[in-house]
Amino acid sequence: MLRKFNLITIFLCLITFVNAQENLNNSKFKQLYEELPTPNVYRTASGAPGHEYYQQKADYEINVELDEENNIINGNETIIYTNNSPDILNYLWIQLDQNVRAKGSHGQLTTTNNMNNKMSFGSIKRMHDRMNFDGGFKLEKVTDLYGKELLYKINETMMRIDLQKPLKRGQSFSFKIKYSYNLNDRMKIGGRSGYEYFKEEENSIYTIAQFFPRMAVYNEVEGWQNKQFLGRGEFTLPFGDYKVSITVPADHIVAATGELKNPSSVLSKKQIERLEKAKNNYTDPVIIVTQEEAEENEKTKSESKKTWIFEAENVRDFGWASSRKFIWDGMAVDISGKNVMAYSYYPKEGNPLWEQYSTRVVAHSLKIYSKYTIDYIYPQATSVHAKSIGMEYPMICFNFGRPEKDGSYSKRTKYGMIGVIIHEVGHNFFPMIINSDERQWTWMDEGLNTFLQYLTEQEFERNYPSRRGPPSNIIEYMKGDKSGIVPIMTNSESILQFGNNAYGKPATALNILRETIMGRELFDYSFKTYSKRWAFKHPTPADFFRTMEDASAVDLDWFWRGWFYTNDHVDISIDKVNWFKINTGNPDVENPISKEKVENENTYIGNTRNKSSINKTVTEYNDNAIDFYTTYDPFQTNILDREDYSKYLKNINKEDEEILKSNKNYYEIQFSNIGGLVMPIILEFKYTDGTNETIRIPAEIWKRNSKQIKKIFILNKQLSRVKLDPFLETADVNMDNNYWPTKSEPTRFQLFKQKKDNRDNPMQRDIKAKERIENN
Amino acid sequence: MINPLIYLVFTFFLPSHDFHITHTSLNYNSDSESIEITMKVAIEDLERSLEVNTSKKLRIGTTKENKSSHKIISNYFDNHLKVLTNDKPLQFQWVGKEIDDNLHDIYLYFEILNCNENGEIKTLTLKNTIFLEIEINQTNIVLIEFKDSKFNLTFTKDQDIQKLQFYE
Ligand SMILES: [Zn+2]
Repeated sequence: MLRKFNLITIFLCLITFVNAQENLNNSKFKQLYEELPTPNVYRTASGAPGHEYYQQKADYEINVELDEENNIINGNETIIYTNNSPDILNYLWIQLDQNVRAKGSHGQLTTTNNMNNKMSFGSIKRMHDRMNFDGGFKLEKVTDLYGKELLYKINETMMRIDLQKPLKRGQSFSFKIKYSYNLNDRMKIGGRSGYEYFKEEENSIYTIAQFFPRMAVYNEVEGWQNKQFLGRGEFTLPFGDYKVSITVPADHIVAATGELKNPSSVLSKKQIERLEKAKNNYTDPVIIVTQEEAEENEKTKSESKKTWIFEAENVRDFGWASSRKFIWDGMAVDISGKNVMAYSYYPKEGNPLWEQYSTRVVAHSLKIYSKYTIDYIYPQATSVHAKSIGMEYPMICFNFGRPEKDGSYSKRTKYGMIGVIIHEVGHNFFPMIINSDERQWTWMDEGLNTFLQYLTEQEFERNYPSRRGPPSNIIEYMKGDKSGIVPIMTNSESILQFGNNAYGKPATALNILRETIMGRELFDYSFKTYSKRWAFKHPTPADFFRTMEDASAVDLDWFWRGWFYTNDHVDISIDKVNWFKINTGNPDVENPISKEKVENENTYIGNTRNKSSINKTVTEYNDNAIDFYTTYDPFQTNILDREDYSKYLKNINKEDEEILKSNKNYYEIQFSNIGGLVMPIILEFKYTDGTNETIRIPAEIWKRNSKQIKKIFILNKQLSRVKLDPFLETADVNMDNNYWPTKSEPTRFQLFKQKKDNRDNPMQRDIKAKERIENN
Repeated sequence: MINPLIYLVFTFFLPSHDFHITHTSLNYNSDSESIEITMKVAIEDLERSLEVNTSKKLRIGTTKENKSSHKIISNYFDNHLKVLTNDKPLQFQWVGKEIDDNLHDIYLYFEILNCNENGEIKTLTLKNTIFLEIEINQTNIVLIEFKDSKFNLTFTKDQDIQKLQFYE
C-alpha cells in the first residue's frame, strides 16, 4: 500500500534497529583475532611465509620387491633426514601407516559400530576378513648406515627413533629400515592401497601406497605431527627426493611417482619408440602398451623378475602400481612452454571408457589447475584404473570407473570417472604441492581441490553434471539437523557427514566468494597468490584466510567466521515492503489522493449496512438542520490553499524543489536473517512497466544488526515484484520467504507430479522412440 | 538371526568418494490430506543394497534398466521406511523416480493418501533402516513439515525409530 510522508522526515529511519545491549562482542563481523594464531617470524599476518620460515627435508632410497605369489611387499629403505629447524631434536617420529590394519590396532578399536539382525552376509564377511587379516609393518631391522641397531619405540602407527647424538640445525641423520608387510585385498577388506584380484585369470592389479615407513612432519605449528593414523585423517609429510627401485615379475608394467630412469632394461624397443612418439603428441594419447599386448601378458606368468627404477624430486610421498594386465597410453601437455606427460594405465576391463577419456582428462586437469594455481612442474601425471576408489599420490593417482562386461556404460559411470580423475589429478596441487596438514584439516586439500574440480569440470564440457560446487547443491546439507553438522574448522577425525563437511561446503563457500562476494578477478588473483606463496611449503588455515584478504582488500573475517567456524545456514527473508511517495504539498494533487485513500479504507460493517437500511437521516431530509460543518469537505481545495502552496514553493531551495518534483517512489523493505549466516542481499526488482533490475548489496549491510534490517530504495518506477537471491547464489535454504508479494515455491514432489509423463528413464524412452521409427 | 552378543571391532575405510547419507522429506499436504515423501539417495547405494537384498541388478538410468525396477525399489522402501500415525502403520504408494542432475543421486517419490485414516494425527512414528544392512555408518536424515511445524531428525543404526507428538 502507498503511504505519503513529508520531506523533512524522509531519511531519519534509514537502516537499523539497535540491538539490545549485550555484554560481549558477539558481532558476526567481529575480527578473527581470537581464532587465528598470532603472526610470527615463520608465518606473517599477511598470510605469507615469514622471513624465518623453514621446513624439514626427508630423502629416501627405497628398494622394494613385490612377492606376487604370497601378496607380500619386502622393502629396504634409507632415509636421510635433514633438520632445518632452529630446534635441537633428540628423537625422530616415523609413520607406520600399515599398522592401522594390524590386529587390535587403535584404528580398529576406536571405530564405533554395532551388530543388528539385518546385516547382510556380505558385511559380516567383510568384518571377518578385516579381523583375520594379518596387516601392519613387520620391521626386521632398524639401523644406522653402518648396520648398528637403533633404539626405537612403536606406538601404534607411529615409531620414535631415539638419537644418540642430538640433531642440530642444518645437520642430517641417515638410517635404514628393513621391513615387509602383507598386502590387503581391497575388494574384501578395503583400503586406499592393496590389490584387486581377477579370479578368472588369476591376475591382480596392485595399487601400492603407504608402503614404506615415512617421516612425520616437524614444524613450529604442531611440533611433531604424530597424531595417530586412525583411517580418516589422511597424511602429513615433508618434501624430499626419492630414488625407488621396484622389483616385480618380468611381465608386469609399472607406473609410479617420478620418472622412469631405466626404460631400456624394462621396456621393449617398440614400447620405447611409442613412448618417444607420445612425448611429442599434444592432441591425442599414443598407446605405449596395447590391449593385445596386455591380453597376451595375462595368459602366462613370468618366473623371472625385473627392476624398475624411478626418481622424483621435491615430492612429499611416493606411490606405484603394477600388473601384467596394464594397457598404457600417454600424451604431452604444454604447461607454459614446458612439456609435461599425461599417462594412464588400465586393464581391458576399463575399456572403452579409459582409452577414450583418462589421459585426455589428466591433460585437461593439469592445464586448468595450472591456470588457477601455479604451473605444474613435475614431469608427469598418471591415472591408474582401480575399482571403486579414488586416491591420490604425487604424480600418480588411482581412479574408479569401470564399464559393464559388454563394454557398455551408464552416463553416471562416465561422468563419475571423469570427475574422479579430475579430482585425484587435482590433488597434485592440493595437498601434494601446496602441502597442507591432512591429518588435522581435511578441508584444506579436499575443499580447495573440490572447488577447482568444479571449475575444471565446467571447462571440460558445458553444463557438466558437477556434484559439488553450485550453492543449490549444499542446501540439503546445510538446512539439516544441527546435531549432525559440525563447522568446517573441525579436526578430520571428528567430522560428521565427511563428504558434505570437508568437500561440498568449503567448495561451495569458495564458489560463493568467487561469484558473489569478491568477484572473479579479485578472487582468482588472491587464490593464485595463496598457491604461489605456499607451493612446496606447509600452509595452515590462517595462512589461507589471511592471504585471501591480503591480496584483495576484502575484509572476509565475517565470511570465514560464518562459513568455516559455525554450522549456521543461510535463510534471509523479505518481511515486508512499504511504499512511500513525497507529499508534494500541492493541494490540487494531494487532496484528491487523500480523499481516495480515505474512501478506500476499510469500513465498519455497521456503516455499510446503514447506508442502505437508513433511508434518510435528519440532515438529509431537513435542510434546516444543515450548517457549515455538515457540508465541509476537508479535501476541497480553495484559493487560500493554493496561495499557501506558492508561498511554500518560494521558500524552499532549488535542491529540495527538484526532489519535490522528481515524483520518486520510496520503498522501505524489511529483511530478517533467519538462518544466522550473514550474506549479501541480492534483489531482482520487477516494475509495473514490465522491466527488471538487479540490486546487489554487500553483506556488510548486516554489520550493526545481523538479525533484522530495513533499507530504503528510491525508484523512478513502481514495483510489481521483488525476488531475493534471484540467481541462486547464496545457498538460501528457504525460498518461500524470498518473494514480495509472497509466493511459495512448489516442492520437488509437486513439480514431479505436475510433469505427469514420469519420464524417469530417458534412455529407455529414446530406444523405444527409435524402435517406433524403425517399425513404421 | 545373528547373535547380537558378538561384538566385533574393525577399521572402516572410506574411499575418497564414499560417504553414506540419505535425505528424506515428508510434507503434509492439508489440501489433499496426504503425506508427500521425497527421498534423495545415492544411486550406487541403492543398487548395491538391492543387489544384496534381492540379487537383482537394477542398472538405473541405462538402456538395460531392470523392467521391474519400480516394484523392487518400492518393495525395499516398504520394508525400510515405516510411517505410523497414532501407532498404526500407513501404506505408501509409488509416485515415481527422477535422476538428479548430478547423476550421482536419485529422487524417489512416494505418497500416503488418506493419511488421516488412523484418526486425527496425534503422533507420528518413523522407522528408518534405509541401507543400514550394507553400511555401518549410514546416516538417514528426515525433514518433516507437518502443518506449521518443522522437524529435523537423524536416523542411524543406534537410533532407527523416532516418534513425534503433536499437541493442540
Ligand atoms: Zn580428494
